[in-house]
Amino acid sequence: MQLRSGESVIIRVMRASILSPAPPAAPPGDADAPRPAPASAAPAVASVDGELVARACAGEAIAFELLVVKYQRRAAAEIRRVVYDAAIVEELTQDAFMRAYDGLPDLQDRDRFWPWLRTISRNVASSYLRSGQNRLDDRPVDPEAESTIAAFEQHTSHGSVEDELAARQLFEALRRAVGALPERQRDAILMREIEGLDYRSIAATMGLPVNTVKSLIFRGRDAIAAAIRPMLQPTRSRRW
Amino acid sequence: MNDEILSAFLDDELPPDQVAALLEALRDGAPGSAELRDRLTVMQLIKDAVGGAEAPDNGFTLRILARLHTHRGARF
Repeated sequence: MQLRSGESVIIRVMRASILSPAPPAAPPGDADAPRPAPASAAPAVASVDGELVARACAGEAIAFELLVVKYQRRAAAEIRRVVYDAAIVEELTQDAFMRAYDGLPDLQDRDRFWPWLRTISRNVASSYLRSGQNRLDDRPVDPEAESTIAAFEQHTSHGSVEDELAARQLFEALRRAVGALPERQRDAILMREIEGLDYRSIAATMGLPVNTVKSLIFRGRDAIAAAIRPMLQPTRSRRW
Repeated sequence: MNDEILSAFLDDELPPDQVAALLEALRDGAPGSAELRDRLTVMQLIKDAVGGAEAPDNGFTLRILARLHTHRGARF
């Protein structure tokens, strides 16, 4: 993705990071580690994810469904770093969410669901690699062959050629739509998604009120959605 | 429910006390919930793609949820 004003954004992002350093990260949960005893009282939460975790623990299925909607691609991407076969990636992603569901009541810092799920995803992938079920993945890595094998497996073991073509066209259109956004909308979205900055840090970087940043990001996404929505209609019944 | 709320929700920027209303609107069978879910999943797809995870859904989420339905102890 080309950023027209890339250098200035990076500099501004660095400045914002210095001005508003992220709080120290809590140790992520480790699904392989012994579980601590569940807290006797529900911990206070300060985020959307914390609220979703709390509600999922209280039995609201839709809260956990939303955690799946939010994080399924990121969890799969973590697993895909070390496992090539798309069908196995999907199965392991499912495993990761099963383990997350089971371990949810023991999650100490409910506001840090994603770091915890990421650790679970990595552990699931590592366990798979150690398990001996993966002779193909034990092959010596040939960087040139790797991309060919991955592309081949995507076509053969997961999804049709038509699906792959549709996906390629979809994401090309999406990238074009990002490139066509007004500069401030694009900068705000890239700072959010690439740099992972929160609205407050983006506002500090851009010298704008937080509500303006919120609106820029929303309007940018809305424009991108309008551009790609017709291409997504055929898959509507396959989405949540 | 406007899309700016959905956008803030996906960015973890919606005040937690506003999450309940959104969940209610998204609940299966709520008026307009299917259309709201569609807008939410499209916005999440955009977020993920811009962040580098370019993957269409094509049933991926539904298959995870289907497995959760059969998972022991799950309240789905």
